Amino acid sequence: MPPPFNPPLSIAEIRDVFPDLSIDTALQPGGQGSVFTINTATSNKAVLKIYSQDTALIRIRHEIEALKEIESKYIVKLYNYGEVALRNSQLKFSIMEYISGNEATQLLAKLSLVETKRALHDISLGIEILWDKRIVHRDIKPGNIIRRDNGDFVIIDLGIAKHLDKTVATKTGSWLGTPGYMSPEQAAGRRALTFKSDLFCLGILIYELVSGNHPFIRNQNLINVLRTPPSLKSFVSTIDDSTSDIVDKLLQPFPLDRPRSCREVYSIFRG
Amino acid sequence: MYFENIDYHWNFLKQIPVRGAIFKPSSQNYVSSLRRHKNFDGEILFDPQLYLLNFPIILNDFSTLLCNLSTYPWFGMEVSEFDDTSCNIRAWTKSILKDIKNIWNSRNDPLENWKDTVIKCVQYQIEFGCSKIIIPATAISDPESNLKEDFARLDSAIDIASSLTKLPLLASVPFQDTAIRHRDPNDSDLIEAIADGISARDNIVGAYVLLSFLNASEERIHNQRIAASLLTLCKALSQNAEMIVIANYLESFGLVAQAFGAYGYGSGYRRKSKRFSFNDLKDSGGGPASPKFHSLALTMDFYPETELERIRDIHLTKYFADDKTPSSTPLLDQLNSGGPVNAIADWAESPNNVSAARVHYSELHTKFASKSWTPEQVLDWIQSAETNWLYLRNRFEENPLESNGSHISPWRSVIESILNH
Repeated sequence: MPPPFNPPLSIAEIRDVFPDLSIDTALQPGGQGSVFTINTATSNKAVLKIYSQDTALIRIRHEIEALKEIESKYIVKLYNYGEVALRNSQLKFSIMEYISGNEATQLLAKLSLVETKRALHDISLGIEILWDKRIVHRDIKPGNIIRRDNGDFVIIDLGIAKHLDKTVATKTGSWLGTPGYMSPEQAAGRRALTFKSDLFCLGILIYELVSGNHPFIRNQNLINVLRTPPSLKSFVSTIDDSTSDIVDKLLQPFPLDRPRSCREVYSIFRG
Repeated sequence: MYFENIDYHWNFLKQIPVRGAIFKPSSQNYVSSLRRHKNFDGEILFDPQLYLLNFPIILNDFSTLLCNLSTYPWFGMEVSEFDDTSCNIRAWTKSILKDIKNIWNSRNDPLENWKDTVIKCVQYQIEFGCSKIIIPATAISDPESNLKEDFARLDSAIDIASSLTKLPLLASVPFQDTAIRHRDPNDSDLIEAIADGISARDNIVGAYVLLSFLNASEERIHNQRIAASLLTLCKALSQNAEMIVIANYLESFGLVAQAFGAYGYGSGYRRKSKRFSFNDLKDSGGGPASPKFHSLALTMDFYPETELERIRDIHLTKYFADDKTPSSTPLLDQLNSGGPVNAIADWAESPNNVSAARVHYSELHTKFASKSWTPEQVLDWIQSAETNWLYLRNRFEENPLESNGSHISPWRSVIESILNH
């Protein structure tokens, strides 16, 4: 992936345009822009994201609009957002919660059963909170989940989250997401997605976290032909039946065959 | 559960044992509607019919329809309020009809002020005494419809309706046949997207599904894809999502839908009540009707004298043994005794002598719809109807019956196909 800014934005440049912020370090840039850790006035660590001009404005708006409506420990918090003049351009920025912990990509095949249940609980609750605002995340995958140091799992990166009453962030309206991590209906370009699409992706995520294997070997075509993968239990014999059953149900190709609500997922693991 | 589609024959509800009725704006003005239904204590639904605006309304052909619709505030037409101190309803509607061109031409788009549209529509249903509230919706006519706006409007309507009432809410799914005619539901995203979208919404208890045609030539569904789509949706919403589905204008196919999970279906004796065809709403009135005996056993209607007597003469009235109701008993007894049908005044084939036939239709559907049918049982029923119909057709090959059972084989085929999946 090419860097969002070339040359990369320096801390000095950022300090110039954000004199009130205490810029800490530059993080690995994401696909949408440059990312810095900062210390806010209240001494909380936060993340400053400067979106490159190449990032579709509508995607930035989606992320910001999605996040500003939500207050949950299972979804990354948005503190501030706006526009700033930098390198002769007006660029969008956001300041979000800094989450100290591990990206789920680092946790593959390393979670205990209790931690797996907690992931299912926290992320399905997050998906429900998003759906209450009629937002479908559309990109639930290990790279977009962080486990906080206290063990809570948090959904991040709502860049392609879709408000049902807003325009989608692509010209074609389809194929926005990560191949291998899209539900069949999302990959088919359905625009009226529901939380059940995110639940399917949660199924992939948990399957992968527990077994270390992607249920569809990251092949979106296998998902699109509406096959059900081998049961999680067949890979991980130590997994308990309730967890295995719920993951198998999450991975059903037809939305109506998946859990009827997020509650059906997280209530199993409450407490 | 069987729901009688009520047009303007409101007193009919006193004569029949039905437990549910569906009312609608197309057949009565706002004021008359509110005044007339009060004595019915069954389950009441009021279909707001917003989907009518998606049909090609030609003012000169549909002035009576527009006159009725204009009195309901959610169609975006502005008419003078009825004041019973200054005129009667007849004079009021006459004045509206006189000005209908201006009223129609200066109408507002109900979708532009959606909140107001929903509020008025829900408030009316509350005042009407509905047992469930049908959320208004526009027609779904395109098989490629992405439903994005439909669901956004539904979400907003659910919020508004929930703030006005605790009554159960039903999402409207008003299909035009074009949306589901050309695709097998297994190859179409539309049905799955509708089922997914509705089942994902917490504050509704289910869906009011309506099949409409611009100009239907048949009283019953003949197209297998349409039939399969309806059953697939009923099954998905009721069995998978545990929601209720009330499907209107399905005629006897409603019993099949019930076996696949529908909570109820709407129909009625008159052609206009059996299926929704927009052109039925044209100003031109119908001619006099002769009575027809409705047979659920064969899913067909027969003229008592010109058809049933012929069937009796080949000793096959046994086909109708299950169709006996209080209203049809004198007719069937007379047939079995070998006497002429016209000796039973209620069933004589004379113009507009349809009261007994209408009551029989409702009695029969109420009786059968109150039973719990499995898909296998309805398959047995339809297979038997098909066998009997084919035999009758064969027996009367040289001088065919007017009644036609050509819908039965497609129904049987669809049921088999779904059961085999």
